[in-house]
Amino acid sequence: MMWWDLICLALVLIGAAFFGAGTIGILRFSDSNSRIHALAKADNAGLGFVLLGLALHSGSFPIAAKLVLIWALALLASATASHLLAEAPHDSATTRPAGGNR
Amino acid sequence: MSLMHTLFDVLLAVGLIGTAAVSMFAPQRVTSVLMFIVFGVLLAICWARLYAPDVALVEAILGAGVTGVLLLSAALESPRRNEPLKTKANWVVAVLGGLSAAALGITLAFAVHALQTGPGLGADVDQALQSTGVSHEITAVLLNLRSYDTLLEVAVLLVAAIIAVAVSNHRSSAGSPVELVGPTPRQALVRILAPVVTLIALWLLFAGSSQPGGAFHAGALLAGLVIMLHLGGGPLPVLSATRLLAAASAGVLMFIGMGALMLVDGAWLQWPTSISTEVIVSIELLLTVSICAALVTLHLAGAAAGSSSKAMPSRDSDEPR
Repeated sequence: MMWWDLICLALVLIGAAFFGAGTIGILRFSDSNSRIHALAKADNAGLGFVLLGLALHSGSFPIAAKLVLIWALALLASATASHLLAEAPHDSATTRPAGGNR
Repeated sequence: MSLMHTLFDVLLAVGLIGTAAVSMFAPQRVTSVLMFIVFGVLLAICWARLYAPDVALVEAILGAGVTGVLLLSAALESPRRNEPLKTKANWVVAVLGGLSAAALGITLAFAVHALQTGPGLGADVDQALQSTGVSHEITAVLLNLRSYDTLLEVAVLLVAAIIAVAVSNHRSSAGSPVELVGPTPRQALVRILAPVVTLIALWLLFAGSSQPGGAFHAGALLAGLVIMLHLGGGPLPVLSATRLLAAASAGVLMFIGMGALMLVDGAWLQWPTSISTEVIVSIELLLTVSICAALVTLHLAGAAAGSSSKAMPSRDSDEPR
């Protein structure tokens, strides 16, 4: 079962990489739309890969189904939050120059 | 593996202290509240790590969720913190505060150390579990062995809701009328989440007799759902203050009534083993409604107080533009 564990670990690590990239994006991107894009990417793809890895690792269908349900609900919440943020009046004070603040 | 666990726990503790510090010192109140919500989520994970899933659930739903919404609507009223007084006395306060905190910390450390040598009450609860009518220890303690404490807790919540209605001008929640061209993303989310949350709340309620869960979890979750429905913009005329307070009182009054009924053949709040399961489940059912109603009342009263004290410019994205 060693190779199976490795596949699961790889999936979780891919998810973590998405979260890492999304976090860097939030900190470094210049305008709020780009930052929302980075945030949603981390939420959707990152969480998806992490939960896929955990679901395969659990070896139990009920647990896997619950993890998929969590992902579906998180997708909904993330999409709604992104939409609300994008529609909200933009505050110019929150817009940073490209490259972030050093 | 235990090294990983230790690393995780250390990260968790650092995160807790970090979010608490940001929450305390952030210049914007909204930042403080958001950090407080993150703090609540981390604290819930802490409780889960301490094998206390009941407390973890309540912390996540009540501490991070419902309290977060209440604080957020309060923070939006006056977004900026008052400027701190720049005087030399601040140093005295800082030194005294630091010393007091250190003294408290050392005392608590000794207290925790002393606790670990005691056996606790777990064995006593296990022994009494057979006669309580439920198979989950926490529920047995909350609704049978120490039901008086629970009654008083719910009564406190009811009193808070009554006072909130008294000091605010919430009479009925007409909600902001929304022109329904099609569901906005927020309304669509609420529509999908409503049945899911209801199902989870009911599951938590009935799971409470044998697993982590119960009236507090279910009631708080349902309250979160109703608050979400309210924030979603739909009119909720059914939620008048009178009806909410009636619902909030029902559980408490029923709890007291059941307790008094036991006086006929037994003692105050002592459920006979033969019917204790039925008594506990029916009390939990009504308490769920009461807790939900009381928490919703707190939210609506706060919202009503906010809308009357200052006409906030609507930042609602649902408006057609």
